[in-house]
Formats: sequence, C-alpha cells, structure tokens
Amino acid sequence: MIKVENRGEARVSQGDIYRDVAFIEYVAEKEGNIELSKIIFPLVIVLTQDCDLQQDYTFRLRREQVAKGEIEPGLNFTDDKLLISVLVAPIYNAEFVFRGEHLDELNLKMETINKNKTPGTALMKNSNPRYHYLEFPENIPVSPSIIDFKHYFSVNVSYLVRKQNDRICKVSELYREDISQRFASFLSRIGLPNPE
Amino acid sequence: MADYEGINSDYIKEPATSLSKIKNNKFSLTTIKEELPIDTKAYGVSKPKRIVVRARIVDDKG
Repeated sequence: MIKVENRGEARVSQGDIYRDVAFIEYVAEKEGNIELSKIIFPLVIVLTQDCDLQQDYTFRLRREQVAKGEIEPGLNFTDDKLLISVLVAPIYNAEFVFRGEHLDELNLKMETINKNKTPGTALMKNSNPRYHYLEFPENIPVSPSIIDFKHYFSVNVSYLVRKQNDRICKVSELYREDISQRFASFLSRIGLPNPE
Repeated sequence: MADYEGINSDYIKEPATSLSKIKNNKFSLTTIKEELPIDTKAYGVSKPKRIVVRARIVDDKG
C-alpha cells in the first residue's frame, strides 16, 4: 500500500494524481471545418521530476510578478527553467487491466493477465517493468490500480495548473520516486535480439 | 450487492448510497452506471473515453 497526501502544494508536483485529463489525438481542418479528437483519461499520475516542476513554478510566478511590475526582472532573468509540458501516465482500474478491458471504450482489446498466476502476481509485486501496481489507503477513494508506463503522454503545464480542483491526491515521497524511477527504467530498457 | 445495476461493487471503494437514497436524491440507475456522482467518492471505476468535437469556422470578415 502506498502513502499519499490529501493536500498537495499549490503547484503541480511529481506524484500528483489528477482526474479526467485530456490527451489531444489530433486536430484537423478541412474546408472551414475543424475536427478535434481527444481521449479523456479518468486518472493520471505526474511523472516529471519534482525539481523541474518546482523550478518551472518559481519561474512562472516570477514572470507574473515581473509582468505586473511588482519586481524587476534582473540581468540574469531567462526562460531557461520553463517546462514545455509535463509527463503523465494513465492509471487504470486493476480489475479491468487483468481482464484486458480497460481500453474497450476506445475499441482496443488488451491482453488478459491472470492475476492468480505468475504474470499477475509478478505485476502486483511490481516485477513487470511496464506496470506499477497501486493500492491506496482506506481514506483515499481509489480502487486498486495499475499505471501503464507504455501509455505515457505529455500535457501542457498550464492545463494541469488550471485543473487543481481535479487533483485527487499526491503520492508521498519515496513512493513517487519509486514510480518515476521504474518509469525511467522502462523507457531506457534495451531489447536484445533473439539468438538465432 | 445489487444496488448498482451493471457495476461490480468490488470496484467501488466506498459505495455511498443505497438504491432508496439514490431515488431520493433523484439519481437514476442510468446516471450511476454511466457517470458516478462526485459525492460517491469512487474514482478509477470508469475507463478512458474518446471525444470528437467538430466545429465550423465562421468567417466574420464577410
């Protein structure tokens, strides 16, 4: 079981869990008609390193103060710490994942995982590099869930800032670093060819 | 538990209301099935959905 905090900071933090986050698949325009397709993920977790998020927040706050004339920009004031986007990964209901049904509303048929045999037990012990299993404390109304690192995507920082009311909780330190470290390992894995 | 039609109550951490309370609060079973009200505090029971929005650009310059 992980540890979470009900109240996070005012800024976007590593380990924050948001609900109903949109991923823009495409925007197309033809002959004056615009079509936008987006996927709404019921739950996502922020994976970006907290130091980067802290620096981005400090920079945006300072930029706001400069724009209002509250402080001087200073000679060394640059946009260097600005984040273009934040990396997040979707969190799926564990039962749906085991049944391979978690994306059926997107018409995607996923692999089933027998939770009573090795594939399932390994996943729940976080031995499967692709997934991270989460069980929340009793006071957090989220069912046992699974993060799928393969489905990570990015969202605009300002978009998440506007969704502060949709932040459910924040995964506590160490647990959030464990998740991000496993995500980094998943991204940097090397697949070797099968021996002939 | 058969309070929620079509929903396995194992998925819901804190099933907040009984069927009678749902009716008093004017929630229909359809509403519960498709979209859980926030006050049930049960997150992570729904699945990702695709939404396609179409709009027409109106040229207001004549």
